[in-house]
Amino acid sequence: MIDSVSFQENSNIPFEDVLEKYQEFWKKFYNIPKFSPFSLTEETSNVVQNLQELVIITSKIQYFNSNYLTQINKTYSEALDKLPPNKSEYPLQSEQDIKKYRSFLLGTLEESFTNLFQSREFGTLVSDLMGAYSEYSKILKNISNPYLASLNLSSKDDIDVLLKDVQELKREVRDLRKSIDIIMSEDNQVAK
Amino acid sequence: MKIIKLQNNTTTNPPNKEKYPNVSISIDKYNHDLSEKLDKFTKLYQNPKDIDVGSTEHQIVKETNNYRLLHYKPIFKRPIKTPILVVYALINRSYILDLQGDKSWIKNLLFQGYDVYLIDWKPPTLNDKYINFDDYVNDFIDDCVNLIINQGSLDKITLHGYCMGATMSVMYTTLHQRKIKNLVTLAPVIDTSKDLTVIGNFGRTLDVDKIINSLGNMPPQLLRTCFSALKPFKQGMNKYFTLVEHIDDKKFVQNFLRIEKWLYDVPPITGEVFKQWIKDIYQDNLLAKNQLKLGSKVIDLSKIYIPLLNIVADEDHLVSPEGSAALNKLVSSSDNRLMRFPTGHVGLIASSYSQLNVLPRMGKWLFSRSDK
Repeated sequence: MIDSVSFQENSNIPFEDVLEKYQEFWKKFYNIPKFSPFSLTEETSNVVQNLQELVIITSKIQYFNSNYLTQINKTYSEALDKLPPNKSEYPLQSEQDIKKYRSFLLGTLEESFTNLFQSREFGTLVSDLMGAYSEYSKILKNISNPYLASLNLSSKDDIDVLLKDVQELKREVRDLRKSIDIIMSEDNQVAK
Repeated sequence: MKIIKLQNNTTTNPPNKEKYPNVSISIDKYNHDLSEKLDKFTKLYQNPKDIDVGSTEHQIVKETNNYRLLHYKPIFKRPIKTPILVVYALINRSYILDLQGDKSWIKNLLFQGYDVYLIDWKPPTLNDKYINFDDYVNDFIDDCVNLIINQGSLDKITLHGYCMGATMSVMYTTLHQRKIKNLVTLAPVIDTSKDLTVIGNFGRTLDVDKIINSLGNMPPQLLRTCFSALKPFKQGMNKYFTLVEHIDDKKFVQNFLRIEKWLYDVPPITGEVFKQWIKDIYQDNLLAKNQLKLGSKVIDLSKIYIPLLNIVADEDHLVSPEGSAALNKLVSSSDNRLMRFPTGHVGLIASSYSQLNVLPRMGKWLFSRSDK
């Protein structure tokens, strides 16, 4: 059995290592015999694998989300630290004072968050998060595909192949049409 | 809505008259006015009236599943012979170019005597996910150009693009230059190595294959999320404060609502186009390196020799101005002009500034290079 390591209890262990240990544990289930009288276990093995991937990806989503929110909160705190400690500079005694303070506050927040959004680290984090959500969607598709097949319905991949072929055919027709137009215009010029 | 009373309530602690001798509006009055304005703001957003956009008279010359070709009714009986085909971007909708009467890019060109056509892209569906730049440039734009040339018995037209539409116009001109008399680009995305914008940063780090393989097309929700990261406070939040302050100004409110309608009217982008846009153009910078391929053909910007006017917004936070300006150094045109204006990406086309400063100069440049 895997050591019961809680990621939250022992946050010194890198997240990737925790995932790796988890995957190693589940690999034992992939070694169930799949041939001859045991061939029926292949489907079970696929279901187990999909569920395992679902658990891993939801952990990744939680991890990336947590990092994302940490970055946002940190930037917000840093921006607030830049505000004057007392109100001597912004006494708020008139409408102009309020507008001046608002402009300063929004400008400070804008500068801090723009620096964050322009950083490569944050860009990579957003990409990881969006990638994780995309993988989640892909795993759900993998789970639903066998059920679609049992209902004699085409899967998304089947339809994708058709759409790609249709688009390729449209391009070929376009190229043929343009070639014919060129030939016909040349014929017209010769006839003149 | 609950208003939090500000400090220095005048009933208990009057403002410092020595320091602020000219203060005529008390905080109490400001609170009261603000409360009334916020009520109006809430009612406006709960029940907005119809917002009219794209009202310049036009007819639909051609309509397919992917686009409509619009022909605007010329103001003059004999417009300038060389017509303009405006190629809008695939991001948001084309009516930003005809947002309202006094700030309409299209209307201004009509009043300058031009004959104007516009390609209005239709939102793609999941069936369109394999449509790529080759289809947009060599099929849709080419069809529109051929139609205008045949209808008017012309040899050439002026091609005029904005943002991604300008990039596509540049690609088209490289491959079909014999049909184009002049090329006018507004904030084109060309050299992304110089791009320090937030969009550029997100584009360079995005694993686009993973996202598109699972989603098909780039959905509007994700696009809106990316755009909301651009100036989130100065433009995202501050504009609502400004709206509340001007809530009684009907003209201001209508203008504001038109821009708001456009900002949130985001169609999806086809998967293949989005992949090429991010991987080939933003990440690998293939367009500036003359290595971008559409089908089997390479886009070589140095092959452009026709007159080029490149208009760039110096305060553009969506498309790097330096990246746009690079186009002038990459083409071979001897008649090659760069105009830079101190305005933003949308301000370049839909503001009073553009009506007074950008369009007259563009019109003057184009007039001497068009057949009359």
